Amino acid sequence: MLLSDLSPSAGIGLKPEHYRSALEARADGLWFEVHPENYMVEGGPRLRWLDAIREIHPLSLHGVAMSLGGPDRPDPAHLDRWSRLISRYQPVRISEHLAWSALDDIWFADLLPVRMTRMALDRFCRNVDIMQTRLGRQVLIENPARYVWLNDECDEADFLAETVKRTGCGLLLDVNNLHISAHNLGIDARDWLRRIPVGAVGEIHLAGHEVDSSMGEALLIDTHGAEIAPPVWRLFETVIAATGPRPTLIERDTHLPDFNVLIAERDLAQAQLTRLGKRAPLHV
Amino acid sequence: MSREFHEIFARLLSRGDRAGVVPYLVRRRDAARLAIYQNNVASASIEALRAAFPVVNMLTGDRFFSPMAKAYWQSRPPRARSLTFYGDGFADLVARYEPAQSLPYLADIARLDWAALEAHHAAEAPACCPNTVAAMAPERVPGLAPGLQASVRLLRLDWPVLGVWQNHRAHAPHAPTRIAPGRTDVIVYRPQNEVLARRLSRSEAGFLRRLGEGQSLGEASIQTAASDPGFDPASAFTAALTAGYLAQIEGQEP
Repeated sequence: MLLSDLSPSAGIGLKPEHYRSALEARADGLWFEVHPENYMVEGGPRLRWLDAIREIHPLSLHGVAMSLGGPDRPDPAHLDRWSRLISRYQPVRISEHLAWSALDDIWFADLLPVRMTRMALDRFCRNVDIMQTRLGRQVLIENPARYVWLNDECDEADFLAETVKRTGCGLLLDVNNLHISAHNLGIDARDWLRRIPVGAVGEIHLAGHEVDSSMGEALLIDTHGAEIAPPVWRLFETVIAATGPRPTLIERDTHLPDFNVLIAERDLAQAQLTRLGKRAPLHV
Repeated sequence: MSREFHEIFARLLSRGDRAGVVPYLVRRRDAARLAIYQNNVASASIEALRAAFPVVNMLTGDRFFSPMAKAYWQSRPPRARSLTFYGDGFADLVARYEPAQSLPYLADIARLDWAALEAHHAAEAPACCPNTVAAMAPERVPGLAPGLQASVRLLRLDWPVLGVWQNHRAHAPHAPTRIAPGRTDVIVYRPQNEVLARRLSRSEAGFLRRLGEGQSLGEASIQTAASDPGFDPASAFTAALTAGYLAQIEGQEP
């Protein structure tokens, strides 16, 4: 039995450049996560690599294209493709975003900001419900990295809490996004943590961010292109003190380093989970 | 239900219309930050094209490729919920793209890149097994219509650039010099894990194209020989069978 079956452990976002290393890695509790959209192909080596890696390590699917925060219902064809991947890979968790990315027949390939109105909440809950019902699985919803402050009617923590209440979904708490949103918009991260249902957090993401090239320190960008910053590590400690240890993912999408560099970050997160897991969960 | 905010935001992304979004901002100064979304959306598509057309990018360089890819994104934004197969019309844009007119063979390079991408992700499909055919009564063979193995892509290029393309894919690029136009038939396919590409004779290409349309070996042989009296169907069939271009015959054990 794997450690990850017993207690929450740390994993790594899987990139094609690291397939062979991932297949050979044997760290206790190591798991991987991929974007299902990259595996929506008919056949070929990409699917076979993932088959082989899934034989050894738990896998989680983290979608970026369902556009749950859009005005329309989830695309049935996209749900069908998701469903086929779930059958093939039996993921331990599935997740999506509080974001939108499609309108009419255009896909923007980015996580776009949801204007959090009461109507948007109704539509978002409807869409989460459709996704969960079609896939027969609980979906974890990730908090966004925010850059602009829209004239919302409710705030993000309440929006997420209400979505959990109405749909029974879980949360994917992206610590880097929380740090970025707090920095860029002046949100109080500790207050946010007090107001989300911490018991619903089923996964945590850690990633690196970068300072905006033209606006400097005032604006942090969620690039997944750097090592995890010290304030994000500190916020991670605060988060797991509140939620208890949860499966935690190291995400890296650009400036991809050697697999060993990611394993080292992953081991740091694992050490935190193990250390803090020995204490009883606290409330912040 | 209201789609107004989404429609206005979409206009920011596709047309750069920032003013429409400003009334939705609590802080006016956030307007400049909207550029993040504009840049992300454009660069996601540009980088997907760069990954899908690696040899076009190698031959032209990042700084030439990016505006060409942006022009494609502006004319044909992604419609699928994945960028894996984004760029099916990119070769046509390359052919028309004014700054690329000094590289008239570039569109053929794009066609090769695209065929390789499709072959790479094509369905797993076992090829027709030579032993099965060898074990058959010879009189049955002309009636077989095996079709082509799922990954096979047949290309008719206007320039003989297969070698240039293959050298770049093998990371042994040498600058193509003095290429004269000339029709070249090429097959791109994935027999196992690796995508392969080979030059075909004109009659071989015609033969395979007919098999791909569902003709029997007998029909395809007769029709190909009609346009090329020197065509040798037996050796073309053996070559196709050996290389694994043909799909598994119905009833054949995998």
